Amino acid sequence: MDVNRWVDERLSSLDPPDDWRPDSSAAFARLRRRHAPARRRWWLWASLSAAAAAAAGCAVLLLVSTPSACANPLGCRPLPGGVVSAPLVTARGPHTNFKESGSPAAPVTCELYTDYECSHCAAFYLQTMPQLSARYVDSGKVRLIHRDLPLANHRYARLAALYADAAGEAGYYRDVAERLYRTEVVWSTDGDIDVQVAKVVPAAVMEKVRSQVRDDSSLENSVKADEAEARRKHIDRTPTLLCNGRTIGPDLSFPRIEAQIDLLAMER
Amino acid sequence: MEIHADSFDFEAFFHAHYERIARVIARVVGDHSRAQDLAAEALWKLWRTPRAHGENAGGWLYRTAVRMGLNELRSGRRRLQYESLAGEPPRLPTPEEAHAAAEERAQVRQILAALPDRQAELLILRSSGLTYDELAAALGLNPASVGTLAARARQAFRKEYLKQYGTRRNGR
Repeated sequence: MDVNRWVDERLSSLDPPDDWRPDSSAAFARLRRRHAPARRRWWLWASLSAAAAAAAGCAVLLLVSTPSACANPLGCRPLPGGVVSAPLVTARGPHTNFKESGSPAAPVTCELYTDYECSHCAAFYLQTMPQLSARYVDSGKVRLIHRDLPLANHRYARLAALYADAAGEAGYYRDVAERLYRTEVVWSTDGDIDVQVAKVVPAAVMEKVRSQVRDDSSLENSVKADEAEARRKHIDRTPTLLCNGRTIGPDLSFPRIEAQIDLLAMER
Repeated sequence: MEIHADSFDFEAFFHAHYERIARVIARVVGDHSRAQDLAAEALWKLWRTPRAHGENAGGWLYRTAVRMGLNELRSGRRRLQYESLAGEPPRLPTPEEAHAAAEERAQVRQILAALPDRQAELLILRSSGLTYDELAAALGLNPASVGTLAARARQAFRKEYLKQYGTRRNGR
């Protein structure tokens, strides 16, 4: 008697029917629902923590600020020697952390590597970013860091990054980034980035932006630092979205990003 | 099946492997809806276990899936419900044959639950279509020994089967 055959016959009685097709989509949805309560609790805790941190930060600012120097810090510009000038015409002021948004206490930190001359980056920034920001960044669930990765084959991408970063320091990062992405088809042919930026930045600020792009090596250093970070993480294409160290994609549709971020938040 | 932690797309991985894992577990527990739940949990467990990511992620997943199935089977909590919930093949010729088939499946599962883990895992994964190399990777065995161990597992299965059920129907 063939024992192998005898045993295999017994075991084959356990084979599920050939027409049984477990539904992975339904199972994935159930899995997400099952772990949702924990996720909600975590985000509630994170939101409360972020709110508490923000309140503490405001309190510290109030304590250290001098009302006689400036009643509205966002509209003032410090002059050499520590004297504070009158409020600027523009409502925005120096912004050193413009590439980051969202709560530092967020459970998920995402880095977005982009190139202003990359059409996929433009599509991502204009179509997906608003959803990502509204759903996760503004609600304190994701801390988002923009990183410049001008690709070598894009002639004007680096200059565009310098303009955006200079404008960012004056508080116009989002306006300029959006303008550059919307008009990428135009300036990528003639390199006239200046005229596009000037359309969304007040004239007085634009002078400073031009001056910085021309003379301020810290802008170039900032781009180089982002490029070094990309090399360290073996990122060589744009757009690349890295959340808690994991590359999202290659599909960067919002539903896919949403699913991945939800999972990362549950992991905490 | 290899996972690189820095680029692990869990959702894509889930969809790619869920059906096969669910079918492996269904062999063990019989209850298809329970098998689907356990398959999802096995994949979730893989995602939550970074040390399992890497070259042998597939092996880790199969081993975990079978163990979860065996634990479920041994717990016996739902054993009586399995066959009624199992979703039988659509064409069972007669009620008597259907009953006999269900009885045999229950007996086979009973024997698997009684065997040592390693032997039960070997038999289940082998009958699920894994090659000897895949079995070695999944269970952490020397590939050269898999054939011998599988043969011993089959002998043990038959011995236990005859011990419990004799030769009255299947012990020919």
